[in-house]
This record gives sequence, C-alpha cells and structure tokens, in this order.
Amino acid sequence: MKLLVHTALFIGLLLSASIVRGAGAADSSALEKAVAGFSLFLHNKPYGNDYFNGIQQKGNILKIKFLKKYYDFMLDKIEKVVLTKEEGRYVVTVSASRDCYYDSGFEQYYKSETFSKLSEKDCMRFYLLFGNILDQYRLATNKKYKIRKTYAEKLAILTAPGFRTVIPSGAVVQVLEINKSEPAYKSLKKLTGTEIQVYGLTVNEDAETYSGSIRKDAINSFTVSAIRVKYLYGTPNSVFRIAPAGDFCTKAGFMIRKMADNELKSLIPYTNPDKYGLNHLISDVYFEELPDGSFAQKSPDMIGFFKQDMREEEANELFKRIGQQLKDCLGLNPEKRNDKSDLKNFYYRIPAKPGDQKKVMLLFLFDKNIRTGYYQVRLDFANY
Amino acid sequence: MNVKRCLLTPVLFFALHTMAQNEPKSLLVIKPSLNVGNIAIKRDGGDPSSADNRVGYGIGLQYMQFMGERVFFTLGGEFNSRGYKGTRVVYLDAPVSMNIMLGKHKIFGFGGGAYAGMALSGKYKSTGGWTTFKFGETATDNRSRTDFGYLVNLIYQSPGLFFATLSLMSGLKDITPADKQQDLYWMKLRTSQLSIVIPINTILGK
Repeated sequence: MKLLVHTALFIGLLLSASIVRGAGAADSSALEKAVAGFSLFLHNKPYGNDYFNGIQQKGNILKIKFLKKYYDFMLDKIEKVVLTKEEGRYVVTVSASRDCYYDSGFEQYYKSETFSKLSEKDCMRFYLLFGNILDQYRLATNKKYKIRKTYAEKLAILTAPGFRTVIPSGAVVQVLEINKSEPAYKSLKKLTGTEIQVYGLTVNEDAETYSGSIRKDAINSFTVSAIRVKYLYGTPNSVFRIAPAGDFCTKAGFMIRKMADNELKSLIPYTNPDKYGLNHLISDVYFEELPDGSFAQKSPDMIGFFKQDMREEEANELFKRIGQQLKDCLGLNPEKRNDKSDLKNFYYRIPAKPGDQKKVMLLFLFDKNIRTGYYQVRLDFANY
Repeated sequence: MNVKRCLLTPVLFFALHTMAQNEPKSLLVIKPSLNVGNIAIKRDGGDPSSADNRVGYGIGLQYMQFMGERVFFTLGGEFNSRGYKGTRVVYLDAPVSMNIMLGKHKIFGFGGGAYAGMALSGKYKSTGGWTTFKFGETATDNRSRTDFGYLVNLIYQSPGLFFATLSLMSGLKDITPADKQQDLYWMKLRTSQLSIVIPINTILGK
C-alpha cells in the first residue's frame, strides 16, 4: 500500500513537472514565434538610407541589425512602445525612464528611440510586432504579468478614425478622469468633467491615457502622466489681440528682442533659423510694432515654443538667465516661481495701468517631456 | 578623481618651486594633465547630444619657443586618455598653439591653435560588456583612428614662476569610420584639459 502511494506521488510529481516545463516551453516558443514574425517583416526592409539586416533575441536583448550598425534593446528595461501620428506621419517610440537600448553606431546607450522612417502601413506593423515581442518576453519572464490589451487591440484604437495620438498645444479637451497616481491629484481632481486647454498631450502605452502638460487656469499648469481626456477642438482660429498694453508690451518686446539677439541666440543654436528664429517668432507671432514705436501683442494661440528638445543643463541655464533678464529689464520679480526637475516656471503679473485694456500676465514655462526626457520652453501671455 | 587631484597637487607645487626665475628663449617641458572628456553626437539631423563627462589624464612633452616677452609658440606630443561615459581611448595628440600673455605682470594669457590625434587603444561598454575598439575606416570598425580639431588656451602664470594651462580641445573631424558615415550623423570629440608644465632643466635657447 505504502509503495503504491509513493509510486502515485512520484508519477504525480513527474506529471506536474512536465506540465510546468510544457507551460514554460509554450511561453518561450511564443516569444520565438514573435521574434520570427518580426524578423520576417524586417527582412531587407529599407529604413531611410539604410536597411534592416535581421534581428536576434537572446535573453533580455533584442538586437535589431542594420547594414552599418545595430540597436540592442533591453527588453527588461523598456517601459513604453507607443505609436503616434506626428505631423501627418506615424512614428513608433520605444522608451524608458532609464537607458533601454544601445546604439552601436555611437557606442552609446539611450532612453528613447523613435522609428520614423517607415511607411504608414509598415509603421503600424512594426508597432504591432515589436509590441508582441515585448508582451511575450514579459509573459515568459514575469509570472504575474497579464496582458490587458494586446498590441493588436491597441493598434485598432490608435488608428481608429477620430482618435488623436497627439493633442497639440492650445487644443481644448474635456477631462474624463484624473489618475490618483498623479502627483498633483488633489489640485487636479476638480477638473474632471471640465473643459481645459492643453499644452500638448501624447497618448500613453495603454492607448487610453495621455501624458504631457495641461493648463488648469491662467496661472497654474501641470505636468500629467496619465489622464483620460476627450478631444474637443483645436486651437481657436480667431486672432487673439491685445490693444497696446502701455509700457509693458513695449518693454517686453524690446527685452525679448534683446534676449533673442544675445543670450537666447547663444544658448540656443537653431538648426533652421528661418523657421525657428526668435526674432521671426517674436516679431511676427507675438508682437506687432505699432506706428508710435510701441508693441502690441498678437498671437493666435498665446503660446509659443522657444525651443524643443532642450537638455536639462541648457534648461537650467536658460531658466536662470530669463529670471535675471526680467529683473534687469523690466524690474520684475516673479509672483510665483517653480524650479523643479520636471517643471520650471515663472509667473509675472503685470499690474494694469490707466489706459490698458487688458491685464497681462507673462509666463515662462519649462516643461519636461516625459517621453523624451527633454525640455520644451514656452513663452505665454495670458489675461487675468 | 580625488586620488588624481591628490597626485596632481604636489606635482604642481613642485613645478612652481623648481622653475627657473629667468625667462628662457625656449624650453622643453613635461606636461602632465587632467582632462574632462565628452562627445557631441548628431543623430538624424537633430541637435547634437552629448554623453556624461568622464575624467581622463595624460602626459607629454612640449616645446615652447618664446618670441619676445609676451608671445610664445608651443608644439607638443602627448599621450591622453580621453573618455566619456562608457568609453575610454588613449590618443597620441600633437597640439600646436600660439599664445600671448596679457597685462603688465603677464599673469594671464590666452592662445589658440590646432591639434591632431591618433587613437592607440581604447574600449567601450556595450551590452556585451567592455569591448576593445576597432579603429579604421571600414564599416566593421568602431571609429576612425585619427582626430583633429582646434584648441583654445587660457593661461595662468604665477609671477616669476611658470604656467598652468586650461585647454579646450574641440574636434572638427567626424570620428565615424568613413564607410559608416551618413548624412545628418556625426560624432566629434570635445575635451577640456588642465595641464601644468615642468621644465626638463634644459634651456635650449639661452
């Protein structure tokens, strides 16, 4: 009898071991299948001036080869694979908050890589197949990992007519839900159901929530990492115009022109001066020089980008210089100032003077793009 | 870094105390240095990005030819370990510069010139760990063996003693191997080097 029990236990143990091994093999084979699918898709596919030249997956490394270089993606470190449509083109961004891939061309590790040289159809396929590999790797290495939405389901959402993967600055959205994990949840929760203007939002990996920056009111803006919104409409087309606002606009106009010719120009080398030149931006977009030599403000959206993709050291330096310039040129001290890693801003409330038709507030905001880790610097005028 | 500082400080004091009071016409000097290296990488036409700095070191010989009281010319040969995060390469550098000392006491000066470098050995950290660099111009090489650029010197001379120089060396050459070069992509080295000069007790021109 005892022998029978032991034999039964032994057979049971063998069976359960083989089932467990079988399950592992299934995961591993699903990963291999996903890698094979991706490899087949990329076979000899042109990419810009280069070609994909095969892929390899070994442990946590997914090697994507090109003719003259390779990328080693660390599957255990990748946090996001996102498909977005920017300036009419689909792009896939693979990113993490720490280094997640190695570029052999430069022998450097990076936090984020954007694949932007594929056709629309290929970009979608790339997103789907890369995402599948990530899902299968996570399933094979993390028993607790559950797929909430497959990348096929996400792709269907992201490419559905009317869905916006990127909501541009100035657009108005209705807030559907503020995630409790937001650092400023207490300040933001009252916004649920209201319409707000955004400074730019990008869809997250879950294909549901957005990250970026929103404007709560004339003074307060917040960086958000996961809010649910409904896009309502874009930047109003009507030209926003302030009649000459007395000394302030004139002084601000001269000050910013001076900065454009000096500090900002040396700090920010523009790759395309015609397109991004500060003088152009300021004279044509923000200010209108009046016959009497004063400046009036004009701006369709009241928001302008000085510079995108600024590194943290540059942002810190520019932030300091702008503060000093405003103090020297306008004699202004900020009413409010934040100097945090993810959000830097100055608020200057300009007291109204007799004859001014509007009260004007000047805002400099340095906003960290969570996806890329770079800063964007905005100059904004608002009424209050 | 601290160890390097500790080593360099006594060398600097030694140099300052042993240097000749008389102003020579020409000098051959030993030039130990510390540097902070970096790289500028332009990807896909975007703004250049850089890596994290890393401290390196070097030693070399320098010939200094004085032309009048204020102006002097330098020509050197140096071994410099120039690196940045995840990369370290030993270069044989040959800098040339023309310098001028300013003011009544000639304490501060500046200069400019050029340098050429040849990579001797190096390693980088890839996903496979530390790997030896392959230098050359083919598609299988990691980077070009040669480098050149311009340099700017800021010079401090202790009155009656000798020089400490801060050199900013900025690469002009794309160090990507020729066969791997693409439009809108390049890599250029940037190095800031702090050096002192110690005369080899041989006054050549006097």
